[in-house]
Amino acid sequence: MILELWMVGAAIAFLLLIRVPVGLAFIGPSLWYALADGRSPGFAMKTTFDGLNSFPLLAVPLFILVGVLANRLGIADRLYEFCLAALGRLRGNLAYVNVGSAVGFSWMSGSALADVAGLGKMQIPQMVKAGYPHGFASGLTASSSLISPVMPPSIPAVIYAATATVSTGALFAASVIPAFAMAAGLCIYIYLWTARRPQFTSVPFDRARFTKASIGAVGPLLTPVILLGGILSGLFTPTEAASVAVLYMLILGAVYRTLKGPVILQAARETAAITAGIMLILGAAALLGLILTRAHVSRDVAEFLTGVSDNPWVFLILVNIILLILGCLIDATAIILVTVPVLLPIAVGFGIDPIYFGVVMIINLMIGLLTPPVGSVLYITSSVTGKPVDVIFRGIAPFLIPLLIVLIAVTALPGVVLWLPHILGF
Amino acid sequence: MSTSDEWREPAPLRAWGSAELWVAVVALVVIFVSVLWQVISRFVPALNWPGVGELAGYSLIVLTFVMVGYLIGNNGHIMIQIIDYLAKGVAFTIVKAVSAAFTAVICALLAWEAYHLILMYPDRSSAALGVPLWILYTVPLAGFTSGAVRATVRIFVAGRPDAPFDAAEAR
Amino acid sequence: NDTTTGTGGNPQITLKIGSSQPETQPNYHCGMQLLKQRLEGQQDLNLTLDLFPNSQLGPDAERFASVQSGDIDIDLQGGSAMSTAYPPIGVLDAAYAFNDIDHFFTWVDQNGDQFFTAFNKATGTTIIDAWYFGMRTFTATKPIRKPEDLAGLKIRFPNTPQFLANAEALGANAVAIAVEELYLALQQGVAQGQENPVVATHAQKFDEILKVASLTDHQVGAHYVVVSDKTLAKMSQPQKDALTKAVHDIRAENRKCVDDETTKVLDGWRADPTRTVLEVDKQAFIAKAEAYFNTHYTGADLELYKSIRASA
Ligand code: NA
Ligand code: NA
Repeated sequence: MILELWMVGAAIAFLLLIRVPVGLAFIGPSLWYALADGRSPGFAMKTTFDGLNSFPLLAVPLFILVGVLANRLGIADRLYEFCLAALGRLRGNLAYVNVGSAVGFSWMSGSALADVAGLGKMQIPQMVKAGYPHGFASGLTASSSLISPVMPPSIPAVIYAATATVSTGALFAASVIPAFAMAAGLCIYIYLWTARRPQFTSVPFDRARFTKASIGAVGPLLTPVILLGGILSGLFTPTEAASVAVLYMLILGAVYRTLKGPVILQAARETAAITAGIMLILGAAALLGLILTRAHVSRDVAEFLTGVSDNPWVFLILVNIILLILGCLIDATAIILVTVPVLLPIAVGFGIDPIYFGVVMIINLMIGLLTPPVGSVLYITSSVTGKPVDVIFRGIAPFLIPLLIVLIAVTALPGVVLWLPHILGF
Repeated sequence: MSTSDEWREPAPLRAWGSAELWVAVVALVVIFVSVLWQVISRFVPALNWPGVGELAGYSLIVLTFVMVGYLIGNNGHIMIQIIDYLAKGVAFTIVKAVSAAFTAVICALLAWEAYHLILMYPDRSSAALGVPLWILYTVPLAGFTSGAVRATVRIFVAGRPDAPFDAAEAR
Repeated sequence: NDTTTGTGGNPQITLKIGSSQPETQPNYHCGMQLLKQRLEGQQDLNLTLDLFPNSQLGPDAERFASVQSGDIDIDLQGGSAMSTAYPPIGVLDAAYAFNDIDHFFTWVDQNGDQFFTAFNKATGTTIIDAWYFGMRTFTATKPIRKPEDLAGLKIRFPNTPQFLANAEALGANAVAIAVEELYLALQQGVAQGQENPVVATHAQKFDEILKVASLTDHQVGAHYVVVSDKTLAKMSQPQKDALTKAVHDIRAENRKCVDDETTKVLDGWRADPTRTVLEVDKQAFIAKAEAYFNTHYTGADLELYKSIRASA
């Protein structure tokens, strides 16, 4: 072999460093390696093309569209108003409202980006106006947006399930409790933070406002019932649920009279632009993955890792540390696609449940969205607030503590993660 | 936020990009309708049509590849911006020029590979719809050619600051 | 590929072999692994076999395209995936085209040369032989004794024209579900049945949900051992001869493994009081399918179909 695989790795790292698009940075050296290895011209292109041809991946554009529509059709606003009316009497109410509306929105959105871009634009200025420090407001908004990609529907879960060939429905079910745990972790942090700051007062509960807001939010709050209910009652599969969710958003928009031609067109443009960026990385990772498979890299890594220790807990701790580091450096989708085929067979060899492993992996990688140098939530928060990235990150940093505690708890308690899928019969 | 010094693509490339975005929007609509069709046809057997799954899958492929050039031209691909903090001034301009050159070469290689695929599988067709696969391979050929052109243009404007990409404003 | 001239005039060649079958399946441990042992055992042949079971190299149709381009050397393929490149091979998958596996192998031995030569011209790949995979049969939530029993059930068939034609030929109400979502869809009742050989149904755990097996045996499941012509061009004559002989020799051993495994799974099902294993009115199904295909096919496909039925 003229070219060694480590040279491919080095070339990819170099291309990523000089800001070549992630997908192309994966494809370039892989293509060069494939040709040097005697593959036919077209091998790299065909593998990238074929990597996108998978039915479960159709949920990616559709769930992105759901989140975009929820923002543009005023559905997210209704959730926000509902949380505000419900949680007004708590001290630090706007902070709890932030987490509450993130949980509500997470049932409609599969990625953190739609959450920050939509809710963040509205919430951060309002919190700052109410006297919250800018760092706290943007840090909390960025952190609570991570509930979206963990709570079903979840784009990382769809991608993990397709890569690991496990049931998307089971992974969705397993993610529910960890997503609520993240929300609870953030609320505990808010409680401790406001306890020492008496200036954040509460407002008395307004029954009329609460009633009106509740009625206004019935439609959005029914989304999880329709999605999970439809999957569990055999009306549609998880991928098909994505199209039903789009239809439901359109119906809500029609009922609320926010459904207008130009709004739909711009929602479609936004979705197409976001989807194409993610999917190119998916195709590129399929190419890199096939090259690693053909060279039996996962077998070699498995031999190495099982040589380090035969204890599954040591393996899980090692995986968590590696993923946290990778998550700081590389896009989460790309990490799932490249590491799952290598790590999952080893995990299964250790007797670790692939669904539980997926939940741990997703929470871990979502934390990386908040950290520099590569953290898309960090950058979007910076762009919606107009504050520099380092200021935003200083606001985010304290919130990493509750999130990391949740990650450790989820890793330590597979029984809790697998409880819901087990009851639902997955 | 945006300043007059920020570089945007010249008008012909913007028009080309707008056409690419329109194709992607149509592909997205086809994905939505096809997947929904599959659900509905299970309850209304008369609507059963084996092509829907394949149509949705190939639409996702079309969406992805047709947007390659648009995203390069509008700075919209996911990339890692560590170097932005490390290299300033002329050094940053050089990094951007080198980056654009590598991007152009990779896109050109992929276009060349797509052309080979068109030649290699003249008779292969898709399972359900019977669409000749060479027709589908023209989409990445067009997308990566567009990407190569866009990236080549960017080599020469590496000194200008980029307009930040906002998917919500995609036109 | 690593091609250097080795001892005995045979070049050093590593053959990459793909398959959709998991390691637990007969076509892996009684097929691919035997092939590896036999060929690597003859050391002066200078052949190394690199096995990729379990769709590691991609889905069926994509892998077959890679055999055409020479990026995969050998693959185990069903007829329907290859029919995207050579449509007539799909006809061999027609429901009850072959009465049973003996009929299939007899036809392959008598007509295979001519048929596979035409296939080779169209695809640039060579079929050496076929290995048995099992008879496709229904597993569902309810008994299927005669064609009319299919009416009230949604049965999942693979989403290709030949398989959907089979559904129609048998009178089944086919629903499209991607294979990745099939287990969940069966579990939640999106579909009430599916058709696969007994060993595959068991290996993919569909029998955890579907408790009634109706042994229609409506289609011979066979995996063709297909080699890239680009790979054959690099091999010496002794290497090609040894490969051909080993593949032919394994056919019978593999079939015995499949039959044994099928019997084992069926005995397990029969011993389980929560399950039913049914013999069906095959003649009713065969008559219905034959009537359907005699009008469904036209031209060369119809001739091929009729010649197969005539040899039954
Ligand atoms: Na979500
Ligand atoms: Na990060």
